[in-house]
Amino acid sequence: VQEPLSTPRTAALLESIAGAVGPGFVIARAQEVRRREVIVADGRVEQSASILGRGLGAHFFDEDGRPGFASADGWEEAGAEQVRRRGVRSLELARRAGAQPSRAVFDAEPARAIENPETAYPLAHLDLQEVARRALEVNAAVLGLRPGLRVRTRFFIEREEWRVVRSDGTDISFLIPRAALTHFLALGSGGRVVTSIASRFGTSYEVLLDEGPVALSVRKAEHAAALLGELLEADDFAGGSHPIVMDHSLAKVLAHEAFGHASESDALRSSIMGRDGRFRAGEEVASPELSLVDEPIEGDYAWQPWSPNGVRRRRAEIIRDGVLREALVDLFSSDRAGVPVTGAGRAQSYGNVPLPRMSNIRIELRDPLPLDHDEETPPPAEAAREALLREGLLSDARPRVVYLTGFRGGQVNTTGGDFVFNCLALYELTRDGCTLHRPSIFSGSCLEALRSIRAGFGSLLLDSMGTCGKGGQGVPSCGGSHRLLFMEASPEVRLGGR
Amino acid sequence: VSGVAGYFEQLEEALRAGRSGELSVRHLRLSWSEAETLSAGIRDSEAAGVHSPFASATMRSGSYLLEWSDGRLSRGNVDGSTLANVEEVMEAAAASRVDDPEGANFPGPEEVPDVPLHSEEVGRLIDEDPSHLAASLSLLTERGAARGVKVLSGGVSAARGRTGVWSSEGLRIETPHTRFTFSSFLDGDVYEWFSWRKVFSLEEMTRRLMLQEELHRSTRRDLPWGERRAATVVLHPHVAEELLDHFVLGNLEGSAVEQGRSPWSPADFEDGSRVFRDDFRLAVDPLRPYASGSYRFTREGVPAALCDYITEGRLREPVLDRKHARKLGRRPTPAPASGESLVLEAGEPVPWEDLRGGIGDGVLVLSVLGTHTQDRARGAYSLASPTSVLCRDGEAVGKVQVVLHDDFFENLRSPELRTVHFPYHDLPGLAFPSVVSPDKG
Repeated sequence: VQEPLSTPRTAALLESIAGAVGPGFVIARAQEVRRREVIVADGRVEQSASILGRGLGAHFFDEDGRPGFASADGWEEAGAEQVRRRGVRSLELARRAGAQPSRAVFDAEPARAIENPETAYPLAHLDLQEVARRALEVNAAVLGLRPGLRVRTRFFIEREEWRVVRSDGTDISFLIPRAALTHFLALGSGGRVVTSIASRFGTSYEVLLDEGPVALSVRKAEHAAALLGELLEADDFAGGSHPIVMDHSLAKVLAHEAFGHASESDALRSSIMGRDGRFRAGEEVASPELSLVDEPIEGDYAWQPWSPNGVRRRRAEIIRDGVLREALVDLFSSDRAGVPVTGAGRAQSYGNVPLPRMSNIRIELRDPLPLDHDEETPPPAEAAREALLREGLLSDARPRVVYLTGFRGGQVNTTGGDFVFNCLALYELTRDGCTLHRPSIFSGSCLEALRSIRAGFGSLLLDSMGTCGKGGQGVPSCGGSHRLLFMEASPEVRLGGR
Repeated sequence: VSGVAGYFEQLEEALRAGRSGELSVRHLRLSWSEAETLSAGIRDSEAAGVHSPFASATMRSGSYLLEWSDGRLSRGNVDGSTLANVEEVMEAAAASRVDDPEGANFPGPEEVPDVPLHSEEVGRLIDEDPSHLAASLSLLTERGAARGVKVLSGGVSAARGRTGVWSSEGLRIETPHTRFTFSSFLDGDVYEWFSWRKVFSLEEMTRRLMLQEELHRSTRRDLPWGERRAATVVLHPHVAEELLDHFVLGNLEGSAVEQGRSPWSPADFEDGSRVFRDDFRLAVDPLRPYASGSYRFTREGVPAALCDYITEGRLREPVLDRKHARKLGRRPTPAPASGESLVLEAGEPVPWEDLRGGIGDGVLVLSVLGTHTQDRARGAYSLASPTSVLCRDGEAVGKVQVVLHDDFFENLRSPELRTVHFPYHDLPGLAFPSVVSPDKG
């Protein structure tokens, strides 16, 4: 039987920590994660596990604002005592080392709230044997899509709960429900193996039980499997700088890796979006049609309503109409960054220090262009080509556009402003047709990429899920853009290749 | 660590006595660990600030494997809250049990090698006098400031703990261990990370930082790479480890081999198929005293031993846990815990200082972006390097930003492949001819 985090017992534990440093300040946190996971590989249950994790963590501040941190697993009084004792000791070390102080939390507004969103099914709706049976059915459906296909299907459901109690009486509890069904596909021939992924997330068992979500996951896998078959025969792409059109999942990686990380307020001394540690608010960095928005969306894979610092997370318009407006700012870096707090702190667990980071991030273009494809699978290359032809973006003056589709991850160096991401497939679009090539990295200057975005096609699709690994902490991320995003060629943005 | 054995002994007893309805536990394997860590970081040039403060953590963790009286298996995690919730944990475990005949691995008593992994001085640093940790952090910040580093990141940490694997069949192995780590990232260009089972003295840290600073000096001048052209590529040991991990170890992993996600099939290991140059060797050696990557046994209780995965360029052993070893009809193997336990050979290693003198035109690659995005089964890569050092006629002349396109499997087959020794790194770097492109245009 689950003990809700909002009970008096957890309050007493957290309050005992929050009162530990006299004239200083404490942010005490309790977290619990319940997770059930099944992995099925090629028609057999590979793994089935039930996971429960609980712990306490706290940020301590002495009266000058010098910080320390301590954590312990479990919700026992002994753990709380360890956190108190070690937290006080961490402050001694901070004083001795002349740690950088921050008194922002002393002036923060107290808050009290409980936020427990409803889900279609409770965690106890299925036992894991039933989950495994359903996962086997879906795995079989995907395996049947193509001879020779190897399929690893993973389903997990997770309930992540936080309670945050501060010295000023703040007491926030919130629950984050999430679930995902992911197919990892591999197809081999003649010693070559190509791989792909198809995912669908939700907040509970609906992704495994309900007809619509399950059918969509199989459709996505079908799309990916068909592409794998073609990729086995495809050649490498020659590389270079080209006009690019990308699907929404790659646009999410671009938004997240190239622009989002650079807008996080804990590293603005070294970020291209900062100058002397302050956010470059008011500077024009993109076309006037472009906006970059991060916001928590209930039901989303990366939803989080409050930060582990006890501040409500709000929508951040990082870029509005081409101009930098807001950074992703936590309680502690607002003054230094020169922009308001957006409640952007997130942490993987009670044992991690919260850092400013994204939730659901998207690139939006004003007045998007029409697209004859409104599915949740990526637009076919031919649909992208037709849309470009119709808008005059594929023409004598611009005879070749490269279409990047399918997400395979990315990475950024915010100091130098360089990004890299990879796709599952690359099409060369010309007035005469579409040619598939093997995937190739897309890399270059973050700011130049931002300036090169010209148009969006179709409606917004914000379901591209992933895990952000900033600071060694894995936190769910999500986002997207229009069905297609078009970028002009730039010498500072290039595709790899042979 | 105080109280650890008591906690996990109680937990083992509770798990073994666990029931769910008519079901009882027939076999149990419990892997456990407890660690205590004291750390502090430097983030965006701010030492021990609110995003990287002095932090103290205690953590109990581990996993269980249960076989129920109906022959089915359950897996799950354990932590410091499991004992207090053991009835709920057992109910959840029973509900998640599955048929998994190859997964039923409950080893009996094993002899494990005696590898020194523990140092009292690290324990004293955590318990009694942490001033060395503060002094180490100050050393990083002061050296950075004195050498004109604009943006410094990094940190120091000390950890100690115990790890054990127990089974209902009589396996009972456990060991204490410690670790001291420091890292330093200069201007987002030059990254170094060192870890050992003992405390690094300030003098030893200084010697290692001086080499990093020398590399940093060579990145201060930005230079264009120019046209796409053939050049010698030298992967710094950190980069070599990253590519080996992704393209080679990832494909040696037992489940990838068994499930067809690797280009190498079980038959390739049976046949000893040639995949790399005939003097290429990749092995794990977890027996080096006090090395960061050393261990006495794996989380499944497999004893540590020197193990060759690839010798003479031929596939010998996949990296096999107990389950996939049974599936493939082989013995489980020790696994690499980190790059420090890897052995990489391809001919006689050449010192970096000597090699640099012989490079007419080349790059020393200090970092790459996007390795995890590459399709590991292909071996082909296309990687951006935001920081490489241009080497011309024996001199490190400045920083270049390049893109590397090649095939790592072909690189490891190249007759011109060389291993390159860098001071203070056990794993060598790799040098080979390739084609290098500018990152722009």
